[in-house]
Amino acid sequence: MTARFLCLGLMVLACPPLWSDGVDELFDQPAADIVTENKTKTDLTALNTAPLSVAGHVNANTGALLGPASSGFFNMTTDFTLEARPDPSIRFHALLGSPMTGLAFPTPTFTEVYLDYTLLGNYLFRMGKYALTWGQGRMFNPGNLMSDSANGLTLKAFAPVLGQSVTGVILGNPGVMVNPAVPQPRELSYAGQISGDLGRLGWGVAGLVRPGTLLATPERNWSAFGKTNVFGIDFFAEGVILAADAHPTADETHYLAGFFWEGGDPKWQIQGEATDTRWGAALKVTGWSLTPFVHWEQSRLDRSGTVQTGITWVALPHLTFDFGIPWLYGSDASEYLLNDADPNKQRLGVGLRITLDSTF
Amino acid sequence: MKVWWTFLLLLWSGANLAFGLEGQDLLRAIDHQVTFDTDFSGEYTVTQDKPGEPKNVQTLALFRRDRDNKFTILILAPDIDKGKGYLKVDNNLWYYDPIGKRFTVSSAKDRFQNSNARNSDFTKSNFANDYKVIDTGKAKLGRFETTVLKLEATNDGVTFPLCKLWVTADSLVRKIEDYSLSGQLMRTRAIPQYQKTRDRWVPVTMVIVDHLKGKVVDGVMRNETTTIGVAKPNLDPVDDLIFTQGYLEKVAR
Repeated sequence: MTARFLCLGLMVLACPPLWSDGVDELFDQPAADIVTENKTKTDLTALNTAPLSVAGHVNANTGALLGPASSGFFNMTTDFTLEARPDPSIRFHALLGSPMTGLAFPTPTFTEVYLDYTLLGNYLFRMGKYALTWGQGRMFNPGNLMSDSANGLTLKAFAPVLGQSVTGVILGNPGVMVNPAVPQPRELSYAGQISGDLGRLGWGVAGLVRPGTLLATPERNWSAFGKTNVFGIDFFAEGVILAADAHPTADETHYLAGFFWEGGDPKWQIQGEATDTRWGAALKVTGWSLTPFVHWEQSRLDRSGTVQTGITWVALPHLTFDFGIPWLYGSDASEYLLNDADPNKQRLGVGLRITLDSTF
Repeated sequence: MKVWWTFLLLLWSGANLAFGLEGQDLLRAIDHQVTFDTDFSGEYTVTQDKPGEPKNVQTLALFRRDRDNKFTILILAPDIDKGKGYLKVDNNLWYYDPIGKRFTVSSAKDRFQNSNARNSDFTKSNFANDYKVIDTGKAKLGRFETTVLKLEATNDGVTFPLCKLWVTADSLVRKIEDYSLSGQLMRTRAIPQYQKTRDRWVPVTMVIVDHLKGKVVDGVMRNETTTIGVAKPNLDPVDDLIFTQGYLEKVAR
């Protein structure tokens, strides 16, 4: 086998290309090699500094779900981003949004506002209101111990230690505090994560502890993951404990296993995930003006589920058409039927949506 | 006995000096010339030339820590791509998408930003571990006298299973042809000029010709090419933070 391969290789290497690539001409009169002084340096200032900028974003969409009980919709959201990086150690970011509610636009509120500080070039701090995501799942994410971060304030510290990444987080959710103006230590959540790589294996362990009060239920959550890449496919597995005390029950232990692959031209995205309660798989092809997709999820508890197939068509700049066929299956009292956003709980429909989206 | 060993050693060294390095020794010398014991940083300009289309230019900052097999690439320009980045640690390569705020696993074999360069073109040279020499010869390449090495991959992790190198007497690779397993010529890379920083070498320019992509323009077949220019090579220490996912999130726009 090796000899055959060798012969083939030698034969092929001996053959000239079918047309001249013009490369050899580069060596006819090449400039002489040079010596460069170790004085100039890549300037990251352009990346790490920026004056205050304001950017806007508007999204308006309308459409209908056609089926036994057809209905239409119209949504509009406006938001503004403020961003400033006065020097490489400081970054300020705010996102001010106003989604239309009941045909009126409420007073804009901060959906994100945070301050980054880089200490001595090696320690990162981020404080403010923002959503932080841990966990390996793209479809289901039981290992996201940071799911409460979107509800309050978060302080994150990050540092590289011995080639690994160490993150510490303190979360405060005003919704579970007796007096948010004076948070008590037992009302806060304290979390940490260490992650790194060992050869081809990516690994991480994380934990979150909230001592707890009457309002703020105690939490003792833990997770550990491993992931690797084989033939370009990302495989991952994660074990999770979401418990109220140090003695978790079997119902409080969860797992996630899955894969994700992205590649090709046009780009294919294929993923599959399983948890102790769900199965799911998805396929999407991007890179054309049409983006077809299939998305399947099923409950492992009552076998209800959903299959969504559709096409997204970027018809003109800013203008996108979505066409989809959502199908729900399972009994009327099943998990997916109960959680479906459609108030009429239609089993099968045809969805159409036109979206106008612009940033400015 | 000791005298015999010394004599043989001298003979072997003398032969190497007289006829130049050969085989795996030459591959090790090639790797050594372009691998850094210190950190390395540089500003790369990647110009993509697709026949019949306007040229696409990207500027990148590349940070390499060869001893730990790490690199970080940050896109500096154009504005639309500014802040996107890649991080490689050992065999793991991630691409950070600031819009999705997620890291996706990439492969060293993948095309870099849809150009004719591959992600592996930015990592440290590892010919001695990844390939074995199956044939050698001599050839003239323009004004250069070169040793030509035909290589076969020893593992599946490499981007191309077969390649052919043109190497000058200073152990610098001037031209590379990359082949598929079936023997299809995939790319030709040319490095007509190097720059020396302390005792190691970095290309001034690398021209990549993609033999799989091209277009007939005015009746002539023209291949897609990508030219990579390297400026501001620097060997000063780089902060540990730069080789972390946290840093890519920090600089993202």
